[in-house]
Amino acid sequence: MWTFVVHRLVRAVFVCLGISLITFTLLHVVGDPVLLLVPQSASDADVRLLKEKLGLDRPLWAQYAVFLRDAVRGDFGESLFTQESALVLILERMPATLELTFAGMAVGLLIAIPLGVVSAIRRGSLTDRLCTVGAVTGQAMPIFWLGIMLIIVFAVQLRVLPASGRGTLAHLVLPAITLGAYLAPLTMRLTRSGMLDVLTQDYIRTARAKGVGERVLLFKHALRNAAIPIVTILGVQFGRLLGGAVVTETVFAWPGVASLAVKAINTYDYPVVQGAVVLLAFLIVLANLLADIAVTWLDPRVRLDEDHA
Amino acid sequence: MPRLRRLRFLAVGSAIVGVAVLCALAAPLLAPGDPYRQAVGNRLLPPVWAAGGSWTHALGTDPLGRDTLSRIIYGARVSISAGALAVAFSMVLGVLMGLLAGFFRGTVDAVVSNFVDVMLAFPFLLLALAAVAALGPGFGNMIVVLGLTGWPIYTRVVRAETLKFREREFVLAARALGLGSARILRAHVLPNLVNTIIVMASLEVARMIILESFLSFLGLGIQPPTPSWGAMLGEGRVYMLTHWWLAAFPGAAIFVTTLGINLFGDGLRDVLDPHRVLMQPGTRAE
Repeated sequence: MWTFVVHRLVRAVFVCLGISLITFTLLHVVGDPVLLLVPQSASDADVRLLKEKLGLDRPLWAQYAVFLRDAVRGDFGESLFTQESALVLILERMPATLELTFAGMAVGLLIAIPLGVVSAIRRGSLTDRLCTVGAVTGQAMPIFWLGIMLIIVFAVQLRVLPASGRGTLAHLVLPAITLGAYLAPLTMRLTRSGMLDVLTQDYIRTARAKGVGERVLLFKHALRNAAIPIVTILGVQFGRLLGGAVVTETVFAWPGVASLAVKAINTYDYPVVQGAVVLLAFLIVLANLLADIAVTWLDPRVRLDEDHA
Repeated sequence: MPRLRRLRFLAVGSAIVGVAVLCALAAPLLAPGDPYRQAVGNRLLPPVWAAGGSWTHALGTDPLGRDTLSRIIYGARVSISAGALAVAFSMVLGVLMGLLAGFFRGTVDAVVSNFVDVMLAFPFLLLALAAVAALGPGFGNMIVVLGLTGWPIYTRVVRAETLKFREREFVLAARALGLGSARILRAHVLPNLVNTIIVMASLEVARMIILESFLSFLGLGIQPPTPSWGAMLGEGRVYMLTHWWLAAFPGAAIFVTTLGINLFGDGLRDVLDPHRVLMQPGTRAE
């Protein structure tokens, strides 16, 4: 088990390094921050001066080394506009993003898991068919449009919920539904197929043959084993969820990290963009790592395999 | 799921995709008016069924007096071509990397696989946003960004399939006959992967269309005055308190098109790929 965890940890560190390298390359090699910062009328000397001041005149590998060294210490530089620490700006907004992400996850799972389990048990029934049609439709829904439609119906026409911002529980309702609707279809389909896999196993047939009641069969034998693919899915879905949060935060003017990043992208505030992208990606890596570890804990086969390997 | 119902999905999907492609190809013939013509006197007209609406502008007009229906029909051009080009780009790149990694294994595989892992851990949307911001907005840059961020999903699947095929007898026989690696990959491995790749690519078109729309929605994709569904939705959002239909119709166009493509792709999977050896959908960060 520990070899496995260490192996995954090393891998996670490697992935984090890769993420920082790609982000850095994008912002420093593909784009030139200085040209976007200075007015067009600026002289070459001014441009040079600014480059020196920001350390952008040094070779790229040296810039990356400095970036990496500082990032490990949690220093992503200062916002080019407010001169505040990028890390502080991002961390200030992290609770909002996490609140939205977990609320969206809760809504999504509350819809997806019961429906997925029910459609697997009643395979081919009307419920199953309706769920499948719902999932296919939901998967095609652009969530930024869904969010806007929800605002139009519930905030503009019915005036029962606020359209944007954060504060009360009521503010959370529409964004959480939007994000949940993004998560639910795929999770439902994966839960259904995971559950179907388990239900066709020999041990279920054996249990049924020896007269185990359907309820015990379902909760004790089937769901417990179906939990393994579901937990794996959750870890993987966390990344999608954060992606969905980018969209949701923009539509609902939710004051989270993603909307900060989008704003920073528009103003080319690269220290903030860099920090936000890297930190969000780290969160995803962390979630995947936790899911991997949770799966080994739930499923002894994985940890035995790894130990023997 | 019963095969017949899958085929029905395929039929409905093909019909929707057909209409969207027709709109894109024959926009000048189908559109009731000029999507660019502004008429200040006709600003913000409601759709035909609302009070004050008329058949001249069946879906109303935008804040510049341009006909919404015509702009939606022309908008199909942007979405369909962006989806197709982005998929073509990422598919070629991804399949190539997957073939090389799976066939040669060793160092190539280690480098490619780790790169794929990193890319898949990335919040895809943020990566695309940052890249568009770095390159500047516009149609060409957007395609490059979508292509460069969309390839890993193909690589992962193609690599796994290639690993399986490289040990099969017909590949070993080809090698024993002295065929070069390039020839074996092209003539013996790739043809076996075509169905898988087609199904994956058709589903990816929908995802790329949604991403393109979102980038345009944020003002980072297609620039005005070119009609695009995402940009129209972005403009319409400003007016959602008073003129809801400005945001509703372009969004509905995106939704129906992606739904059609998904139905088509799902149906295609059943026809082309009966054992469903495909990737689990959505196993990546977006």
